[in-house]
Amino acid sequence: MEEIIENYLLGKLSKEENANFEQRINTDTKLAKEVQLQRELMQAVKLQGLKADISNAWKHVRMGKMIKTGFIAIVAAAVLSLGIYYITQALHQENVDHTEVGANLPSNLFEIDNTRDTVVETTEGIILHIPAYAFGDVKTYELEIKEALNTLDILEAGLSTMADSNLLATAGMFKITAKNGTVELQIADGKQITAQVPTDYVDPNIMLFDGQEDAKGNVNWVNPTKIKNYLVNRSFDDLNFYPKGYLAKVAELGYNAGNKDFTDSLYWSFDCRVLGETEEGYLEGYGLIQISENLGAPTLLNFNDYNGDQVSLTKDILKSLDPIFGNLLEEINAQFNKENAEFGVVNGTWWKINGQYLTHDDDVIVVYNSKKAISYNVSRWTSDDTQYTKELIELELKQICPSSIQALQTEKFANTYIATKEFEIRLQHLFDICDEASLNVYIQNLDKDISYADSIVASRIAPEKKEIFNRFAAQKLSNTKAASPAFAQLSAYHKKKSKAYQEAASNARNKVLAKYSKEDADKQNRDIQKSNQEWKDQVDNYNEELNTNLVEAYRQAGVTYPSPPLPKGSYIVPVTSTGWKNLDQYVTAATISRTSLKTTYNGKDISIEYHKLKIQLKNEESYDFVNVYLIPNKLPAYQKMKKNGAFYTESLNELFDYDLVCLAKKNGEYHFYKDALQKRDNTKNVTLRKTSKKKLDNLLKEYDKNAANRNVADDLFYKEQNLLYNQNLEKRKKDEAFRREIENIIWPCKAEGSLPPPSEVPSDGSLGSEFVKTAPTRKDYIMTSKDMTSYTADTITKIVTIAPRQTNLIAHLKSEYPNVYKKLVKDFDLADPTFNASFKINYCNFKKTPILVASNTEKTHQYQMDMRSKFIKAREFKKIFELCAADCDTI
Amino acid sequence: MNQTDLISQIRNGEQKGFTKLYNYYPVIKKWLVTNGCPKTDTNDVFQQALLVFCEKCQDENFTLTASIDTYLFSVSKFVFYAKSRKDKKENPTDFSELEIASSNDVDELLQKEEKLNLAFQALAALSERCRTVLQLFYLKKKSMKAIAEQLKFKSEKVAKNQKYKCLKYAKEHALKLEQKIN
Repeated sequence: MEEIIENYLLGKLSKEENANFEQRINTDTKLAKEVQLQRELMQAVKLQGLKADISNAWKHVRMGKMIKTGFIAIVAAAVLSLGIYYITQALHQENVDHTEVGANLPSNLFEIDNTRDTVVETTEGIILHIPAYAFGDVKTYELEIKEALNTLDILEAGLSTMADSNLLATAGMFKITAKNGTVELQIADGKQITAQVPTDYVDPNIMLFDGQEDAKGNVNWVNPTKIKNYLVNRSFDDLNFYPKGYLAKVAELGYNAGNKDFTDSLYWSFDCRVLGETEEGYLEGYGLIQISENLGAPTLLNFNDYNGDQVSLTKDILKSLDPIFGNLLEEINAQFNKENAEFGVVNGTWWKINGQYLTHDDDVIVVYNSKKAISYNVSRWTSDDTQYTKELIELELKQICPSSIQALQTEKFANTYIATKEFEIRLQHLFDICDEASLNVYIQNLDKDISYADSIVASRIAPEKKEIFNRFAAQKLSNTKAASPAFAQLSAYHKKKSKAYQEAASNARNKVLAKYSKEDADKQNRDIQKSNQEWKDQVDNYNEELNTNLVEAYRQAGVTYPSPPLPKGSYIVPVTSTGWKNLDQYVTAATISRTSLKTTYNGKDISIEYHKLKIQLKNEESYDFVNVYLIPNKLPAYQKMKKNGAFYTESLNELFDYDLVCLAKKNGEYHFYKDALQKRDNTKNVTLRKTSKKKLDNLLKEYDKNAANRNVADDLFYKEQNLLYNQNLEKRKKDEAFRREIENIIWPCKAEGSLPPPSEVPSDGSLGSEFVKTAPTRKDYIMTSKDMTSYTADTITKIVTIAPRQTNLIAHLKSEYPNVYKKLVKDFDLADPTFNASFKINYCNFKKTPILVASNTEKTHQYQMDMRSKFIKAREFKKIFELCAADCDTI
Repeated sequence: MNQTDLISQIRNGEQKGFTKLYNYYPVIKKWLVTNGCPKTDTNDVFQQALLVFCEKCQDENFTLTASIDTYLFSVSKFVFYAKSRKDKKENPTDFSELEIASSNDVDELLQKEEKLNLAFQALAALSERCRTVLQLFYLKKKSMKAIAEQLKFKSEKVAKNQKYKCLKYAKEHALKLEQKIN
């Protein structure tokens, strides 16, 4: 019954069974009750499980813990080398006709020069290191090696594994015979041949036996000696010191993984920076807490403010800026005793260290070095809140620095166990557990057997990772033959060297980042400049066009326009002559909407004509960029045509003559078209023609306007710079994506899932959208003057942008930013109703530049604000944004 | 990673899916705090909202009409409003359609939780291991074989038997509780 209930609830019953069962439920109340109970239990299990999942995920996020699935098994096919010395024995020859043991085994024959050190390798892979004069003073000799390394060979050779009456477990047998002509040679006194015998597994208990052959050809094994498992040095070129999967990833991403110079320099270029990353939030500043070892306390703190400028702050200064930080310094001192640390101050964002989410709170100071990161939450909600909460989240950073690995691959370590296959294998596992401290255990104990470091590492790491290092320790491997107490000193050398490499890599990386920063900043400046210039040109054009239209309309009405025309730079000129206001309004409306005006005034027909122009470019999509300009003869600046579907459209004023200029670039070549336009509705199909840069420059000179802030040639230059920037950006993105892919491989313990923040940011109550403050465009300009209908009879004016008086903002600037205020007063008339100041933050590679943008109809100036004295910048940013907004609200 | 993938990760009970949901937390938290939610409560509110969402995800016919973050945002708002209502604070009235929908989702879950009160108590009386077996089977939809392997039962049969016993015990306990109340 239980099963039927369950299947019913899980929807596993057939249609028929289901119907039957439901009928039973309807009649049997006890059954119904039972089903209901089980249903509720199942629902509760699910809900409870979900709750647990959600809260576990939170713990996971909070602590930045990584979950690693699975355990990597020991590399099974590794060939471990086993050094054995084997001394040939004179065979006890009683019976001359006995068959030589192992006669049917193939021989490895070598002709050896006895005067030199020689290394030979047999077909089965035994490697013999034979020193010079190993066999006395003969010049040459013939070396014969017979080997039986697997059971089948051993049986076929007729070899037994008997030691007196005991049966031995064997790792293989081999026989060495050296002859000069027919004379069998003995190994000279004091000489020793070293043999490396391949094996899949090193049994620490294995011993070397000498073979004694009896008259019947049986071999008895005698003289067991414990094998000293010397580790054999390899050239670094033969060792793979890369994290697992690194070479494969490089190859997968289309690079030459076979080029060691390339793969080395790529790997070493990762500077292991403990980079705090923020997404969408504020980075207030970052820097280095330098702790003097002599004093044992942090006395100086180098603080790079949000702008990247380095400021030296003493503890006292810090305390005066924000008491919490002064106090924190004591704590940081205790936590990071004698070790330098970097820090960042973040606000309202996820803070990631090496991809691991650390905290998400406001006003957080994160202090970290390569060992740990602690976040201090100094969050306050109002500026007069004096209650600070401190929150410590400690987290071990999991990363092995490429610089540490680079520093190992030097001459100094060539004779240590670092330069061995054994260490190579251990290193792979160290990469897996991402534990630099464990790596250091090996480096600090180079004078001791490698098994010593194995067991220390096994004892210090997490239980689930222990097993492999326990197995390493159980191998009881020793050291290299060259090992000496002097090796103990190498750790200090390594520390120094790896720091130097780290700095070199870091500098190189910083250079790249600085280049990116500069490209971004340049681009931003170009954009601002262009936007400002175009805006001003549009205002000038508009004013001039309106003026021309007004003069013409008055002329048609037979009345003189109340000239002289408005001087440039005026804002509001009340037109007090009653009666003309309607005409002005009509003309103004027509000018704004760029549509024809037909009306009568004073019995006279008034007409201002606009003609529609539509331009279509042939093969437009094939160009890198296309610009279409109208150059009106009497207006101060060019007009840029807007794209509308497949067409560029604009309305032309019949009072002006227009030239049409089209410009495009493709594959580094320029294409051009020009034409004088007719005064009628017009649709044109334009085919651009290729032209040289020189010709183009000359052609464009024709259209230069002295009064304009920006000419067609300037715009072309802008477009080209942008094109270049975009190409660089493309490459940068590709490079950075490549680096990220590699980072994921070389630092496998990075927490996964660094999703970008949600794409839709709620517009209410959240920050972020405030940052999007662009210079006004033509559209903005018209928008601000849209309340035409509310003009009163006696104040018909030229359309101007009238911004609210920003008294609070100005007052704040005056008290907090006297330098900016002084400059403002010098550059602008603050009482001018068209004066408007807005605030923006240029944000680029974690650097923020707060900028005050001030403008009137004449000009726009930008002032960089020095916020060094404001420790928590975000609060100040917010305040200034609010000050702007508050003033706006009063209108 | 798109929305559907994330929902299916949640449906399959993959931890990384749950972790990813917390990416939406900072923005929502910000809103909550600006709108008067005590800082100490924001996590509870958000987790309750996640529960509403994850519970919805269990339904294979569930489709989102908005993006996950928009949905989570409006659910969080409602959880917060519901909480405020309890604390007799002000109740805002200008709701969008999406918000009304998510309000229903929130209420639905609250009612469900209330209804399942007895079942929850019965489950709480079980051993941790029992609860794990039941969760793996009913929530994560793991096969008995996989459960046996994961929890190191000797065989599939032992695991099955264990599950049966756990469920039976929970049922009996629930009945006892019910009798006590009545």
